[in-house]
Amino acid sequence: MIRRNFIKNTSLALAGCLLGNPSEIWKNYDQDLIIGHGTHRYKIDLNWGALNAQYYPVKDCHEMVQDSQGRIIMLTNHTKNNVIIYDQSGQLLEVWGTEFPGAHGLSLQVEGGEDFLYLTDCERHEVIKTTLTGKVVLRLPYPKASGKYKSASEYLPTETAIAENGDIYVADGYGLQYIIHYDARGKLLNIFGGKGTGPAHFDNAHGICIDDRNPKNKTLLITARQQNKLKRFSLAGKYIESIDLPGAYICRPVIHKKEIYLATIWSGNGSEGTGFISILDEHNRLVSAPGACQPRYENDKLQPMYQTLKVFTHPHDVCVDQDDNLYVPQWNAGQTYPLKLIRV
Amino acid sequence: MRIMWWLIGLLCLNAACKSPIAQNIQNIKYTPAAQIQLSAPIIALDSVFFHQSATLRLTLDHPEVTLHYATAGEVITRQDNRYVAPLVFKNTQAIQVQAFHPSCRASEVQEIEVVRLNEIAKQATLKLTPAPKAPYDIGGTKNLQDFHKASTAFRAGGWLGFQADTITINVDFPVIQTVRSVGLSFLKDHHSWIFLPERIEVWQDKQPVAQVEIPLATSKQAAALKIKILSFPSINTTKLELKLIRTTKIPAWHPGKGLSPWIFLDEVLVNI
Repeated sequence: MIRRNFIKNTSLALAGCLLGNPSEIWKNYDQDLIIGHGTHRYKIDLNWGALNAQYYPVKDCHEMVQDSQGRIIMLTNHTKNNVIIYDQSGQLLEVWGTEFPGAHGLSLQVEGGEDFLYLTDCERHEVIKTTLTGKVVLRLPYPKASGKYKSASEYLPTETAIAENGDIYVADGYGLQYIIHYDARGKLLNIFGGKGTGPAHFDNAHGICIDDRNPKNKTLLITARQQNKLKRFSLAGKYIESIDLPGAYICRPVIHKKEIYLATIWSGNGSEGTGFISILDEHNRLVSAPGACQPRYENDKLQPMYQTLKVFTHPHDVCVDQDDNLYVPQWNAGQTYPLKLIRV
Repeated sequence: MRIMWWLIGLLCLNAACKSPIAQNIQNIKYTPAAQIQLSAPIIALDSVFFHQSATLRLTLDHPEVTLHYATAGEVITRQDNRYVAPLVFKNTQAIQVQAFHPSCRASEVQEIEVVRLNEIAKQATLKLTPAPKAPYDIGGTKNLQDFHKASTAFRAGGWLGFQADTITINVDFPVIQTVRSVGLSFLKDHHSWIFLPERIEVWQDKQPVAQVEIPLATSKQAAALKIKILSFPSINTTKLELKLIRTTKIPAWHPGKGLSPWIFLDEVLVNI
């Protein structure tokens, strides 16, 4: 909010300075591309996270979170530096991690006043919990005890969500499509979902989060990416509802204030290089789609979404900071670094 | 009055610049509209393959965008052939479309072909050597004779994917046919390492009938559906042999340089 006020203040200041020719002011202001719709519109800083690739290389930039110090933490599957930590201006603070060749999912949970990271690794076929400095404190291998898996190779976890009581939910989005529920110590409690076309099943259960917007009724939001749906389950694994987002191949849901943010890796018919960002309001309706067409509802149904501007290639996650700015890492985007969208 | 506005402006600017956040804001170089390219127009066709006519609709829902098209392979400009209503085609035709905007860069040119159908290919038996490679082998040769155009989303199905230097398609007709052209429908998707073949050859009784060389792309192009048509003097035959010769190596401008590309095929057509 502070930053948005600053932008407004600066605009007013410039307006005051140049009042002699007001049309020039807005002409210059509009030189910067603004994407998005309604109340969620953004300027773009394409070079926000750019680093010297010789020293800090990336392959796919998969996910990002903000820690309690306000730092932005990014996970890549490059084993020279799996974890890259930035400040909010894009300055490099530190790197660590050389043992996560399939690094994919990254969640942050504050436990007892300390930040912990939950990484999923599709090549190691496990979930790893670490401190902010990379010390491993818990490993969750493939859920053999569930009886659903013949071997670790079938288990390709893509995301975790951590409940307030410490329970861990893992989405096996590239594997057998199950959602695996553990307690905080890693004891298997439940398994549900699985591959299929029914309401309670998934095709690419890529992302998962706890929807805590209603504190009295927290639920799970899980993406069925190839089905262009966001599915809601109870914390006990009972299917509740689906939110249809036709044309939007959504990655993980991120709750921030009353909205849901989703990197949308492909759009339209699923062609390569057609990503955008989806922002749903408190009623779970798509209200802004930076990089895509204006969301339109007809008879309460969202019309198919598609990319209109090539701002993004394959956005894979969205991290939202305290000023509602967005940080976007991308999969398969020419080994480029995350970009930033500054809310206006 | 004007001096007062100047003072207010300077005061605001001074106050804003003292904020620590201002230090970061000053370093941001926002991306100008001129740096960003429009996406290609969305193409909707009632059918790529048709008996009477095909109707094409274009859209790209972004403020101030105009859509333009060409039908003779000419360079598209924002002055020519503005799309204002659905286009109807009654013959086999290639169409190129492009989106323009006053500030953003024009989109890549998107190509589509509509094909007036002849049912002869449906009656033929096809044999593929080598077989398509899993997982892009679902449906087998039925995919090549269903007159259903697959989309540019290669994972969505409908395509056969090949990883071989030469792909041979033996076409056997149940009775003698008079054949004057062959069409092959490909996917071009450089981003996904899918290239068009380098050369296509048509053979009958071990004699060459026709061939076409396809120039290797010199830069990454938009994903597109491509139908390559080889026309030749009419021949009466029950057998044809089609050979697709792959570009041996992905070119140097591509991230996969030096490796072997895929070939994706979804239809074999006769006398189009």
